[in-house]
Amino acid sequence: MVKEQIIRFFKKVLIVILLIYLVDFVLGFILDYGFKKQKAGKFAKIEYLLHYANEDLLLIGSSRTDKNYDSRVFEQELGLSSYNGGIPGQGIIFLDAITSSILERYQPEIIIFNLDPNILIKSNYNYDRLSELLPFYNDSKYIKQVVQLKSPFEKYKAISKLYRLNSQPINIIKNVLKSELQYKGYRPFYEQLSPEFVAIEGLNPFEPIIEEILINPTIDSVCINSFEHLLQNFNNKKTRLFIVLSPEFMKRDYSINKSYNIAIAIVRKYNLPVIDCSILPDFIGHYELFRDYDHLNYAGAEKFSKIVCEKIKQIRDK
Amino acid sequence: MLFNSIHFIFFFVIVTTLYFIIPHKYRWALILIASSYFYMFFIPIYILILLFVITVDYFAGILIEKHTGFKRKAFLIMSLAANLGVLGFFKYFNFIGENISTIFNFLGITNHFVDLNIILPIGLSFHTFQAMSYTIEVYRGNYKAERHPGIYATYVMFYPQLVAGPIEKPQHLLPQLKSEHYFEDNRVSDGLKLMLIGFLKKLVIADRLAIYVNTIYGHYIHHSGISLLLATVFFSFQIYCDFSGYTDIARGAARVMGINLIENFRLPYLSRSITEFWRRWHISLSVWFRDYLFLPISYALTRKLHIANSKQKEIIIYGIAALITFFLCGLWHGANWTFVIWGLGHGILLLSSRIFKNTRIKIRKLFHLSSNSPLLTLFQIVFTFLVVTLLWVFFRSPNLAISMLVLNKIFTFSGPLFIGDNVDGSSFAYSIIVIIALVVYEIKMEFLPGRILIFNNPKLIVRLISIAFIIAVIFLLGVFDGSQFIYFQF
Repeated sequence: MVKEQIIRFFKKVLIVILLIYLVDFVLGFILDYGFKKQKAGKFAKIEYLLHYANEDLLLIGSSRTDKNYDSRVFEQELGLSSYNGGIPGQGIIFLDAITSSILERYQPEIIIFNLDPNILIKSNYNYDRLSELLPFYNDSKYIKQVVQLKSPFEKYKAISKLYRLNSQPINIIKNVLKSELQYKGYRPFYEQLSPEFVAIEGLNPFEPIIEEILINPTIDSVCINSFEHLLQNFNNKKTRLFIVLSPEFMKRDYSINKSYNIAIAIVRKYNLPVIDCSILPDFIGHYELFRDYDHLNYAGAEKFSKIVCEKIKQIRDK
Repeated sequence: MLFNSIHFIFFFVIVTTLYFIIPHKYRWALILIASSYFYMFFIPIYILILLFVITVDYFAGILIEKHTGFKRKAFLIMSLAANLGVLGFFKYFNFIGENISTIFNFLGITNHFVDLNIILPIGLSFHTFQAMSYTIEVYRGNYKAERHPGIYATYVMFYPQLVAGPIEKPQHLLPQLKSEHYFEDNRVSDGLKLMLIGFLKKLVIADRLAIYVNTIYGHYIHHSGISLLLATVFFSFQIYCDFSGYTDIARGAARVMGINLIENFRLPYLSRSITEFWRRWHISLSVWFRDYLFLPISYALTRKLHIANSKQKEIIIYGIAALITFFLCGLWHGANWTFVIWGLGHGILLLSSRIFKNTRIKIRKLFHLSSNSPLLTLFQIVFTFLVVTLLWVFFRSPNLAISMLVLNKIFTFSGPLFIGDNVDGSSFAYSIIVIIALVVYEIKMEFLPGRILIFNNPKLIVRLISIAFIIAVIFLLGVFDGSQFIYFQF
């Protein structure tokens, strides 16, 4: 009697598994087709970087790259075709996987990497956001390796197409139907940081903030490895890498930032050029150039991009 | 161990398989070991707290049963003191100390309160309440003391409901733990379906809504009244789906093993009054407070209060009992004045509902509305929901000052609706879609029961397709950030 019940139960389980497979295959196929047809959004950017980018100059980094670097300025000033490959909300583990995948396909003349001073601080956020690589799971061996860092079960979950395209349906519909205003990957902010917003928080941009958490944070060895791996990529390749620090609205003292100090020591080890714009007085406290504390607006990005181009020219001419 | 983790899936499959393989006489041991492992996944050493509570209550139960009169009462008090002592130390020590320190400072008396930096044992309020329920029921003669220490320990530690309920009574759970349960296809399938619904509520609805709620409440100072109002409405659904999702998983996991845990939620946001809300929301806790606090206080006051006017007397007794009960219900949730105000808010609403009962009837008659008119029902449901939602502001805010600021902003409706950064348009759209889907489903359950059957459709293939569809929805729209259940902190 119990045996019959068990057999009946497992028959139902088998049917459900088959149905899930069917739904996953059909719906996953449709969504995947739409996903690859997106004309806007960060996933369209990643798709472009991994499969189609062939520009002479690539800008790599997180949201600060996305918003602070005007690719048109780089084209005009340096005479190189350029693409802004900034992916908002991402850390070094993600960026290393993307950059390594790009370099495996083609080698641009220059890559500019925007260095976030807190890049090596341990945070679950770095791992949670790796899920944005899931739609590209089968596109590169680097991406496959990195996604495993999210959880040891990720490779099993990634069997499901629907899981890989988690939370994508509305994005797909939106980004297939509508193309956003962007200039070769650069997606500017047009708003301006309001003095009232800063006043509410009781901050003075000219007084450096001492953030205790940055003095002795937990440093993530995985982030260090990823950063080293990213830099090692350029050892035997013809691509030249420039490390750039974006301007800050708030005056900051990076010398007490442990993550920054380790990152800079690694950069020095590989003898790579660093363009530090974080302390430029032309930017600190200039509301008209920022959208928020960390991101420049349209005007700020244009000004900053010109400064970076000048510095690159100077380094190249040496 | 979190229900929404891969570890739990493996744990559940292994434990359930073993449960049906091993002979009935050893099953309690399996559940006990599994429950200990489940609990020790958080902070292993805290298992000793459970061991202490279990030992005290096991012997207290036997001693209470053996004795009568004063000794019987003394053993009950000893048991309650042990449970409340543990709860008080771990949950309220710092809260009480900080408040005493504040009073001393106010009076100008120098004091040096030392914050013990204690991490609250997970689900402490739940299992201590379940343990107290046992000794009280034995004391009242409603249940015979359990002689088997292993089965008693399993009653306190039964893993599906160990960390967030439902809070069971011994007469309901203990006999089930002792009975032999065979593998039954339909029951196991029902249990799994219930678990699946729980995962859907947690992963697709609660954790999705949490993104907007956390963004807005995390930077409340920069957000407008309309954003805060919407975040609070989202929080109403988030906390409901988070907690009822947990309960569904717990009840489903237990049902697979043949154990029926009590229903904890019955479509609470379709309540027509605050009284009805508390008959539908966290039912096991409401019943606990009703049976062990509200009714005893009411009986005691009935005997001691001498007021000629019976209506006045009834309202005074009800008011005192309700306010004390809800004050403690609020405090049960957390050692923070925000929870106390939240509880008292509900108590005051219940009391007002009783006081203005006749006025409400008069108004209804004035508008020529019958008590079950659809328009009146809609108004009552919306009104109750809004009132409950506004009280959630206290529950969600870290302190009273922030609660007041949020309420102040909500009532001024200043500024635009926030959509941006990590809550982009699509994330916001998912939140709206899942809420609409939930509301439509619950309205169907409430007003069209037995119609448009999906999970309980007589056709097997429809039932199986619906299960496959739900799994696909979880894969596609679930938020897999491994976030904790809100009620674990209590």
